[in-house]
Amino acid sequence: MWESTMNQNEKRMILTSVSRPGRYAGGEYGQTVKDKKDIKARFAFCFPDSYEIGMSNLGMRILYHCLNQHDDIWCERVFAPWEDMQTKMQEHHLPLTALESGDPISDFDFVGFTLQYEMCYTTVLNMLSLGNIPLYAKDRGEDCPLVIGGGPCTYNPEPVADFFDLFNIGEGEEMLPEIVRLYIQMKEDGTYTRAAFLHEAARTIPGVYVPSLFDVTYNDDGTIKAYTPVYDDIPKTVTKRIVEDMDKAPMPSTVVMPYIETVQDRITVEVGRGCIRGCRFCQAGMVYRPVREKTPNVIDCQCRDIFESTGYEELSLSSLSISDYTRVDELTDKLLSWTNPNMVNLALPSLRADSFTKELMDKVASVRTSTITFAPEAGSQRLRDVINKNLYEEDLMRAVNVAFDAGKNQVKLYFMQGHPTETDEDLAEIPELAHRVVNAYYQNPNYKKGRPPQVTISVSPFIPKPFTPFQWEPQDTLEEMKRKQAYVGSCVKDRRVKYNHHDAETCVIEAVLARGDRRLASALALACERGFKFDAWSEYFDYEKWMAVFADTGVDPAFYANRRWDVDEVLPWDVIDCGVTKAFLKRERVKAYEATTTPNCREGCSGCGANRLGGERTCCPKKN
Amino acid sequence: MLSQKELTKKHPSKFDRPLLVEPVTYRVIFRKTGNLQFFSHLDLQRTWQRVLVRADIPMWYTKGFNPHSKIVFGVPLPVGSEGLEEMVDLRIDREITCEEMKEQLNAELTDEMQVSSVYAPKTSFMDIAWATYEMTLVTPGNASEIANSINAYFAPDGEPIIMTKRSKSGDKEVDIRPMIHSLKASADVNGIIHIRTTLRAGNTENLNPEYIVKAMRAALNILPEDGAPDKVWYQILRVGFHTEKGVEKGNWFR
Repeated sequence: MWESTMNQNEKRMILTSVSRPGRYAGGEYGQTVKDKKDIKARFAFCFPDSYEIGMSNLGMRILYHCLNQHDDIWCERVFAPWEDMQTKMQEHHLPLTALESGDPISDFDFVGFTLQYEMCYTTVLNMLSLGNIPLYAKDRGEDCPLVIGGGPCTYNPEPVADFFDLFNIGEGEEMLPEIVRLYIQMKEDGTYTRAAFLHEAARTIPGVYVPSLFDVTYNDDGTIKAYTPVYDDIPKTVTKRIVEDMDKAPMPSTVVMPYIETVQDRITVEVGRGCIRGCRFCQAGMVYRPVREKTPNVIDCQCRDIFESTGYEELSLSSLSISDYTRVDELTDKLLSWTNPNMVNLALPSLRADSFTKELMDKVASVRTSTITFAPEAGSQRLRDVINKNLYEEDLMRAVNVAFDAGKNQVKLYFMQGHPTETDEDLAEIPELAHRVVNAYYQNPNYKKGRPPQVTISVSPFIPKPFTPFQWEPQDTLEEMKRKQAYVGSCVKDRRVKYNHHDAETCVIEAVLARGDRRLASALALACERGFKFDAWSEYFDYEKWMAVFADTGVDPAFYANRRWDVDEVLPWDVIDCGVTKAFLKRERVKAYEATTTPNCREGCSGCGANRLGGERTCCPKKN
Repeated sequence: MLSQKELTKKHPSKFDRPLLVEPVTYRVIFRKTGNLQFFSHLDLQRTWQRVLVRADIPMWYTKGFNPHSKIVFGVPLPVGSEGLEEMVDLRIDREITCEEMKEQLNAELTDEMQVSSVYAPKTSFMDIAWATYEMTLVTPGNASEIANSINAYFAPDGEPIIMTKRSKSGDKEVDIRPMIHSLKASADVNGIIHIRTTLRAGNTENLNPEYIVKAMRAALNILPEDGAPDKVWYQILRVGFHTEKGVEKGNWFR
C-alpha cells in the first residue's frame, strides 16, 4: 500500500503502529504486478470487509485471474482498513489504495465491489469515501473511476443502486472482461464519455444493469409503480449471465498466498454451480440455477494445479450441496490418490444428511475434528415440508449414527425460526429433535462411557430474500423474534444440548436491505456520514443507530421487513431476470402453504424456467 | 493427467528421489525484507510449511497418528524488523543437493524472501547468544549531536537502563544494559543516524531492538511518537548472530 504515495520508511512507521500490519503490506507470493505503461485499463477489485475475509473469497480469486489474463488490464486488490488503520490514514491524509501498486483507488479506471452480504453496504460507502470518490454516481465526473458491483446481493441491488454506475448481474467470468474491453475500445476510438459508455454497455453486453438508465415511479401506498428504461434500445429487464460450460469456466491455477492467517486458508474449487434442491427460503438455491456440473477430471486437475502452486494442506470442494454432485465417488477417489500421499486434508462442506454415507465419511474422515454438522432447518416434519427441505428424521438419525459409528460425539444442527406458517409447536420440536439425537448416541454400539455427546442447535431468524418463493413473506417483528428465541431456549431441557441463536437485530436490518428499494439510498448515505462500517461485525453493529438513521431519513423499516407483500405488486428486483420465473415462485409459495413438497431437479423438472439460460452437464435440458 | 507445474518443472519429483538411510538436517539462510517485516514469526512458520510443499522439498515426517515435518527456526525476528541472515533447519529424508534445494526454494519465494545459502550445519541454534542489528533513524535535531548523545547514553559504564519488559509471567522491571554487548551511533552527511548494535538473543534471554528505541525516546527525547512519518522514522535490520565465545572476536554464527 502507498508505494506511490509514500516511501518505505513512512510506510513502516504507519504499519508498525496498527494491529495486524500484514493486512496492509501487500507483496504476497502469487500477486500480479504489471508495468503501468502496458496497461490500458486499471481495475481496483474491492472487497468491502477485512483482508482476512476478502482473501478467502473464491469469486475474487477467479475474477482477479480473469481480468489479469488480459495483458493490457491490471486488476489489483483492495480491502477495507480496520478502524485503527482508518484513523491513521485520516490523521496523515492518506487515501485508500490498492495493495499491488499502492496507488489511490481514485486513479483507477474501474472500482469494482463484490457485494457478498447486505451488511457490507456501509463498508462499501466508507471505502468510496476513504478513496475520495463521490458516493452518488450522479456526482461523479468524467475523470472519476466507474464504480461497478457484482456478487450475490446484486440480485436486488436497488438499495445501493444510486451509488453504482453499473452492476454485473450473474456470473462475471465472461461479462467483467467484456465490460473492460468495451471501455478500452471506446477510449481508443475516441467515442468514450461516461454516459456513452454506460449506454453502450447496457445496450450490448448481456447481464449489464445500469441503474441510472431506469426511472422508478411509486404508488401512493409506497409500493413501486413501474421501472421504465430511459432508452428504447436497452433491455427492459436484465437477464442474469451464466457460464454455460463449467469445465471451461476460467479457474486460476495459482492463488495470491496470504502471509497472515485468513478465514478460509485453503484450496477451494467448485464442483459445479446451482443446487437441485429448491428449499423455499434459500436464495442461492434459486439464483444459481440451472445446475451445471464440472467433470471429475477437470476438478481433479484444478485442485492439483492449485495444490502444487500453493502448498496448501487442505482442500475444500465448494458446492451448495456437495453430496448431490453426481460423480462424487469418482471425484473423491481421484483426489484421494494424491491428497493422501501429499498429506492434504480433504474437506467436504455442506453435506446433506440424506446423502451422508459411511463411504463418504471415511474419505473425508479428518482425525482432528469430532464434530459433524447438518442443517435440518426446521424441527417438525410439517415445517420441513413447508420449506421444501425434503429431509426426514430417519435420514438425520441414520446420518448421525454414521458419524457416531466413526467415533464422533459432537453434532451441530442448524435451524431457522420464523418460517411462514410456523407455530410454537414447530419451534418446540427443535430441542426435541436434538434430544433424540442425544439418545441416538447412547444407543449407538460405539458409545463410550465418560465421553458424553454434545448436540449444538443453532437457530437463525428467517430473512425473506428476493427470488425465493418466500420473497413476499413478512419477517417476524423484532419482539416476536426475541420471544421465539427465548421460547426455544425454555424448551431445552437436556444439558447435553447447547443452544445458540443469531443476533435478531442484525436480521431486521438485513431484511430491510435485502428487500429494499432505491429510497434507502439516503439512509445508507447518512449511515456512512455517521461513520457506519463493518456492520457484519457485532462489535460495530448498532441497532439503535440504524433505527435513528431510518427515522431521520423517513424510512419505515417495517414497510420492507414486516409487511406481507402482495404477489402482484411490482418488486424492486423485477428489473432483473435471474432465470427462475415469478410464476414458478408463486406456485412454490402456494405449495408451501399446503405443506406440499416439490421433487428435486433430478427426480423431475418442476419448470422453474432457469433452463432457458442453457448450460452444459445440467439436469434440465435447454428449452425456449 | 499431469498438472501444469509438472509439465514445466525442471527438478525431479520428491517421490522420485532416492531415500536416505537416515534423515539429515539442512540449514537454510534466507532474508526477510521489505513488506515481509510486517509479518509475524507465526506467519513465517505457516508460510514455510507451504513453501516447502510447493518447492517439492523431500521433508521427513514424523511417523505418528498426525504426521508433521520438522522445521526449526533460529531466533524469531520481531515484527517491524528486517533480517538478512535468517535461519531455518529442515529435516529431509531423500537425496537432494544444497544447490538444488536453494534453486527449488527460490523459485517459490518472492524477492523479499530469497535463500542465499543452504548447508549441513555443524552448530545448534541453542548456541546463539547475541544478534547484531543495524538501525537507521531520522529525527529532528542535529544528527551528529544526537549520535554523540546516543553513544554517551549507551556507554558501557553508564547508569542502569531500567525498562518494563513484557513477558508471559507479566510485566517486569529489567536493567537492559547487561543485554547490550555494544552500541555505536554515527551520523552521515544526509543527517541520517546509523546505529550498529549487538544485543542479547536466543532462547534464554532476548532483547528486542525496539527496547533500544524506547530507551532513546525516554532518555534522549528523540523520535517523537506523534511525528509525521516522513520526518520521523527508523528502520531495523538484523544482520547476523554470534555465540557467547564468538561475539568478542566478532565471529558470525554459521
